[in-house]
Amino acid sequence: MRTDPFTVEIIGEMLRATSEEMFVTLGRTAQSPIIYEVLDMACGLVTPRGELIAEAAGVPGFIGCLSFAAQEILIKFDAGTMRPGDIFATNDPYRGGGTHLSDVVLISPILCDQELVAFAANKAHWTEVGGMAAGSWTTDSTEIYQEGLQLPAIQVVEAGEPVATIIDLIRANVRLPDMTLGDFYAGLASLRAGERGVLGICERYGVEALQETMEIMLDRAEGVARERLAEFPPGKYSSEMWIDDDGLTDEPLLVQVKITISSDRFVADFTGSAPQAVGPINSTWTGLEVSCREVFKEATDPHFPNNDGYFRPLEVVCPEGTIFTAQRPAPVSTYWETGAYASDLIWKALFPIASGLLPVGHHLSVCGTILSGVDGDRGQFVLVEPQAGGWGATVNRDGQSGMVPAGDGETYIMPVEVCETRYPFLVDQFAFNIAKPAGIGRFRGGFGLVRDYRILCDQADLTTTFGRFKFPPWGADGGGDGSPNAVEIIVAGDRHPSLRRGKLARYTLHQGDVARLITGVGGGYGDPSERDPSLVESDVRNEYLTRDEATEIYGVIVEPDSVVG
Amino acid sequence: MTIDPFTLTIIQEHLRSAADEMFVRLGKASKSPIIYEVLDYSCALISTESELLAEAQGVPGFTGVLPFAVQSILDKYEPAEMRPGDVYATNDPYTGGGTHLSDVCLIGPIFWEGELVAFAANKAHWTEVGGMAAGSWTTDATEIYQEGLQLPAVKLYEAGEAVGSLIDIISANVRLPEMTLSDLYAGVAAIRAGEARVHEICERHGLTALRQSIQEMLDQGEIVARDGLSALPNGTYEASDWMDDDGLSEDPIPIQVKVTIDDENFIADFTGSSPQVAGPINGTWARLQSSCRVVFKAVTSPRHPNSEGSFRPVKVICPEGTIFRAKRPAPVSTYWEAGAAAVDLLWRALFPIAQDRLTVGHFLSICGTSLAGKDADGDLFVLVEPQAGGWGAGVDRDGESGLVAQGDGETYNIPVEVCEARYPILVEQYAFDISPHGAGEYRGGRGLVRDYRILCEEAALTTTFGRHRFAPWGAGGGQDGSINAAAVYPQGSDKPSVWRGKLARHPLRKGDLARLITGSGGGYGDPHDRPVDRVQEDVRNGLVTLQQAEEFYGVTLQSETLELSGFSGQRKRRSDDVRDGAKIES
Repeated sequence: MRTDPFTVEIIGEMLRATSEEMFVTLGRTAQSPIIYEVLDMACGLVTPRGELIAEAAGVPGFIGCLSFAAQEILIKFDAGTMRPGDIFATNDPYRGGGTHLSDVVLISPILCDQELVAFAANKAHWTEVGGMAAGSWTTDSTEIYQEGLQLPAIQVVEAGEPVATIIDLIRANVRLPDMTLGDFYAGLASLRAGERGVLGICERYGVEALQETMEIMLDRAEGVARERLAEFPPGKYSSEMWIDDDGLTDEPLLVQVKITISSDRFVADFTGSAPQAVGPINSTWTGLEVSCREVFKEATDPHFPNNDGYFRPLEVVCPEGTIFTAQRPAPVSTYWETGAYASDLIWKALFPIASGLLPVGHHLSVCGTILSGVDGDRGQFVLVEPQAGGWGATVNRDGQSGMVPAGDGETYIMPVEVCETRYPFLVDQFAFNIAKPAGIGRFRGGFGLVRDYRILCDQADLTTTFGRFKFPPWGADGGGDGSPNAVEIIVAGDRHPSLRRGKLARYTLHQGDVARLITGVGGGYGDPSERDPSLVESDVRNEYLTRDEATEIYGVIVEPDSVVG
Repeated sequence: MTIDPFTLTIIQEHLRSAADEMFVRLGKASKSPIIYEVLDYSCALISTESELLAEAQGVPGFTGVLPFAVQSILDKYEPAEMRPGDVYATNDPYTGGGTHLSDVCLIGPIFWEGELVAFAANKAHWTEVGGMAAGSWTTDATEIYQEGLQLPAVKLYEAGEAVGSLIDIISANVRLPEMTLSDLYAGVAAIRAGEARVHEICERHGLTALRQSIQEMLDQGEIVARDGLSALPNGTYEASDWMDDDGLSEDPIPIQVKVTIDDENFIADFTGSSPQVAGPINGTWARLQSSCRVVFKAVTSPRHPNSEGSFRPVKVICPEGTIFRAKRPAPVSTYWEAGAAAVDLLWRALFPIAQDRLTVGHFLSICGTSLAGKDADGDLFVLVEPQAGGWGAGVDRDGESGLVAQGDGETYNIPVEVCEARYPILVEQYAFDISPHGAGEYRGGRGLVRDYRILCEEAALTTTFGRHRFAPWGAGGGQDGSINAAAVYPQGSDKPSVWRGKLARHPLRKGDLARLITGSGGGYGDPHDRPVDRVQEDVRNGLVTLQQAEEFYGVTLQSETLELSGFSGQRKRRSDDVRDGAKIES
């Protein structure tokens, strides 16, 4: 039987709408703010062979990750014995689908008349999964065993009945069991929504129509990807960078990529990158694959809906045991920092041939921040947030200022008012980072931010993972590099910082101390001397630049009157 | 129907030998040296009312704890839901039976003709259960979540089938999954052995006989216990002491007990002891119970086999949230220190009325030592061991030297040869510590000094040596003993860079020396009453120095011949010494 193209189109949209419904269900019912506010989750439908067919992603860092988890479940469990209502879970970073332990994947087979027709799946960042540090990530762990509860591709629901042993185990092993189990049940609800949607399609159009549509969707996406790929000049492109350090030593770590583009393949080869590190900045296979998928998508066709067909031309090569492909028991709890470098390496390598779609280097790091402590009336508090920073210039415009990094996508940041109301901090300053000109160019980089938290309670602990602290964002074609991200501590009563670092693990602050969180300026593009003088004048008027700097850097003399006016 | 007393006795012995068989089977099948070498485990048969029937134990710290574990399973699961072949697991320190996460209890219901007749249970120290530190205990944890995988009374086997997802979780969450799972399977094998023996009893003698025999056994245990209790004078007995610190701050921790003995009861009330602390030395309810059971047994009927009946007169009082009965999420991974402190408090309170059964204070602490690093081949090695030390004097004898602490019972220590063969360590010294303490008419036993020279590039030393600041107690005019200590001498230095009780993963380099010192026990009686020939013998054996002989015992000996050359003024005045003095003149 051949399904008519109209029906195929309708079923395709229904599958996408089902993913969206799963996403909304998960967000609405989750207990963790990092899920419902930061959207650190992804939902999707996967074919019985383990190919992603439709997806609703929150953070771009999860693009296309669900297929790997589904394949892992298919390796371990016999698809023939799966029953409706079964649910599997995995957060194993070293096997398919796992990133760090906080990101838990739930997968449920969807059966129509005893035939497996699809999987519903989601992945969400549960706020608490136990381990040595509250919030389950830190910058000084040295083994996975310190990073929380590991769920190594196990069955958690049997034919609709949660496995009591597993629920009890999760409840006992996490610091905020109500929140964590709330996230778990939200994931279950989302899978049910997925199942309902797919069974609705089966009922209305039949299983065959669904199966045929899925094949068509995958093939069509593959066709689009190959078409776009053909627009790139075939050849080899490469880049290399340094990651600051692993958080435990000061040694910088070299990472590199060689990309080979041919008419039908896009190969990203990370061979030669540093071996896995002692500290928790390691990434694993899924994190690497997803980082490649993310930038492959944005460099080719950011608008076409994702499915695994689109990624068929993409091939990722990397030996085991590198910083991108760490092996058990390497710590991985801040894997996202290294995943971001995999994206940025490809980004930089492709920039010369995709400058129409890609800006130059940005602050890149999520600049993850945890401030926690106990305050008299408030009790235990934990602030967890990413920081926004400066993006790179493009070939025809200045970079964006104060935007979260690529890996964080549509994440929100915490408003100053909410911060001061909910936490014992005073936000002394939330300003653009314009202390020193950086990211200069014909088009300049966007500005990073400076955020000052003055501690009002007796004591608070600060954990930060600010990458690009030693090696700033890259500029291109004569544009200057941006500036680094950094955390400064200014002790109560002092004017100058006593400490300036990228990574901190539970650093103790006292009343009156200030934690200054600084994000970098993005890279610049093109020769600064070619910058339009009116843009320079506008920057001076906006106080991004002093008159002296305008003259020194851009050779533009700005009259004082025009500033005052 | 009344069963003849011979059959009853046969069944009781059968139950006890079943517990012994479980114990041997677990030990033979386990892969953790701390189980098969250190005997840090116990096995028992428990009644359907969670009463201890028969117990085979390694360390005394586990005396009578398994009934609490069974009770926690009965609190959570209906007996009607249980099936033959089920096994439950718990290591929850805050509910019944839990101590620290490394000690995992496995419990299997035993059925006969569809009826629940008993439980087979065991508790064993699995070497690795995950957490922030390899080996799952350290001295700087601040929350239970850092101490390993928690198994909160969960079902591990369903009708003989292992719950696959739980096995996978255990395997993923521990550093040495092969070793840990072997301990798990060894525990299950022990339960099966217990089950088979109980079935045998039922088959041979019938369920009625078994039940009657159990009843008789519990009652008999109670009678023996009450006999022992009635030999103790009624009254109130108190003791107070300090624990050094919690490993994170320097503050000493006050602890106390009030024991009330009347015709019916033995009540141990720990009210007034410190609230729970930030570091991992907190004790748990089950361990406090076992601390009380151990001392009660020691002063009433040490030789009669344990059963729940033996403990019926014991009542324990302690508010929640204290050092002896911590609440979630307090860290507890070195809970044994608080458990030992509770034993010692009771011991000290009861010493005046049970001098024939109890010695004075001993070095008490397990002095847990963990030395980890990489050997020449780059392979991870971890040496984990208790240290032996000095015991207190009795009212009629000297204390034992170099014996493991009370809580460790029949544990072995690691021989020097094994140590040097298996680890990149040179044992430069293994000697008695003859520091000037523990003198008495009967002196305390001597502690030990053990020097580890590090031969590999790097190693990390974790120690939890209690009684580092508060020495073992003497009595009747005897001196207090000496403290335990861990010291580090950097290569080429004869001054220690570190002199502490507790260390958490302290870095050592090639050539550094770790010196582990355990205390001497307390002395009993005035040292001036110690006969001269005993002092001479001690000096000859190198257990007492010439100077100590003079200073504490008032006995001056010639340095070469050790012949008596005089008495200090104080000792001279004593009448029995005049007789000894006469000998010199002759």
